[in-house]
Formats: sequence, C-alpha cells, structure tokens
Amino acid sequence: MNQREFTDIELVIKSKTGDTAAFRDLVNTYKDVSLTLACSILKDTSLAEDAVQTAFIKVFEKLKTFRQDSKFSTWLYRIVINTAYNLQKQQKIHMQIDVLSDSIFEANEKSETRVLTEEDQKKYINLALERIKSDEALILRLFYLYDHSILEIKKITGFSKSKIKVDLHRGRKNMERQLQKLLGNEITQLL
Amino acid sequence: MNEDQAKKLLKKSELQATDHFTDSLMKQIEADVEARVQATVPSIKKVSLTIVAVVLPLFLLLFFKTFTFLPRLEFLGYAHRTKLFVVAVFSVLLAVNHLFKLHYSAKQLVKNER
Repeated sequence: MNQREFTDIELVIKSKTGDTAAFRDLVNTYKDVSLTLACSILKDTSLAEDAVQTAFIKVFEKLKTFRQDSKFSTWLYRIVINTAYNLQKQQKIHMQIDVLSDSIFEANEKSETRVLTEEDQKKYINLALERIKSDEALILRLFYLYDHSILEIKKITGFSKSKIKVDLHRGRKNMERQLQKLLGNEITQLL
Repeated sequence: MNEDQAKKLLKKSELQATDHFTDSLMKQIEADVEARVQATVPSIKKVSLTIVAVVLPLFLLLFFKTFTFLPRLEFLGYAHRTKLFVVAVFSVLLAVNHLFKLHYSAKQLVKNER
C-alpha cells in the first residue's frame, strides 16, 4: 500500500457523508487485496471482479452501519468473502473449474525444462492456487501473502481456529502437489 | 514445502484489478447516489402515520358530531352510520393501496437506475 494522505478511518468518516472521492481512495487502496481474496474463492478473475464490485457497492451502502469497533479492512474483507462465496453458490463453478484446469495442465507437464521468468512463476503459483480448495487458497493468501494472524483470519472468515490451522497445513501440501504436477523438476526454481 | 518457502511463493500471488475497475465502480456508485437524490422515496411508515393522524379525527368527527355547526355538511350527521363507515374504510384502503404502489414503483425506479 502506498503512503496515503488520509487514514482509513478518516476516509470512512468522509465517505459516510457521501464523499465519493474519499470512497474512491478506499477502493484504490483495497481493490487488489479484495480481488485476490475473491479470486481464491471463485477461481476466475472476471467473476472475482464482479464480486468485488458488488461488495464495494454493499460497503458504500452499509457504511453508515460500520461502527469502527473493528478495522475497516477486516469488515471489508468479510463482505468481499461473503459476496464471493454467495456468487460461488450461484455459479456452481467448482466442478467446471477443476475439469478445465486439468486439461490446461496436461500440456505443461510434458513441456521441456526451461528457466521460469518472474511472470511465469506468478502464473504457475496462481494456477496452483486455482486448483486447490477455495478455503485453503483463501487462508494461505490471508496468512502468507497478507500476514494476517490466525485470530484475524478467524474474524475475517468466521472459520474456527482448528479449521484454519488444518487448512493452512493441507493448503501448503496441496499447493506443492499441484506445482509438482505443473512444473515437474522445474519446481526447484520456485523453492 | 516449509513455512518460509510457502511465504516466498505466496508473496508472488497477488492479483491486480483491471485499469478501469475503479472508474467503472465509482461511475456506478455515483449514479446510485444521484438516483437516490432524484427519486426521494417517501417513507411508507411516515406517510401511513400521517394518514392515520388525519383520518382518525375525521372518523371521530363523523361519528360523534351532527355537523350542525356546518349547515352544508349537516346531511352527514343524519346519514346511515354503517354505510358511511364502509365508504370511509374503503377510501382509506384505496389510498393505502395507491401509496404502496407508488412506493414500489419508486423503489423499482431506483433499482433500474443502477
């Protein structure tokens, strides 16, 4: 996140009075994190963008009910995650994604060994995350990418501590398995 | 894969929203705000309370006064009370129904504007 002129709370207070410029700043600050979290659940960037847009509209409408007893980001992520899970239920995309992903990766498994660029690495890591369960991908990202504690993840997702710990462990294993499938020996370039 | 390796990998997994994301979202939000200002949907609760506040004294007046103080309306004092009551209740119900219709269409208007 960049150095900002106003804090979240200041921007929230301004937005509550209908200041759309302040809300724009909040959107710019949290759009990428929100998209990444939504994509962990939905496994599709354009669907995730739709979910994040819907979530931000909900946030703007419900801003007056935000009582500032928790961090704005925690409240926002909770709304983003709930919206994404609801959309996932509507779309029932889980199985389609699994089938689609499997066919994409067969070709990659047989490809020759090559040096992976930063861009390639990012692509394969995200593909591996797409192939694991939504809950696992979401918890992995919240914990390792955004450095949230287990307690914070509990607040954001509503999952129990034990589920979070189990999903962290399983998620790491499953992600490694998927990367192994995708990259074969090239996985050593990532680790 | 240990914790450090997982952290190193996942640090590369952040996605970026498209360039037009903020603009299109804000356009939608600003249109919402504008639509809400234009179509000021009257609170159904307030309007219903107003109707009750106006109609209740009228009913009482109708039943307990003979309208001798208003010669032109004196006939109301001699009218059949039950018939008068039915007409009055029917009129109120019609008014409330109309109100609900107005409220619903105003809400639809706001929804469609989004």
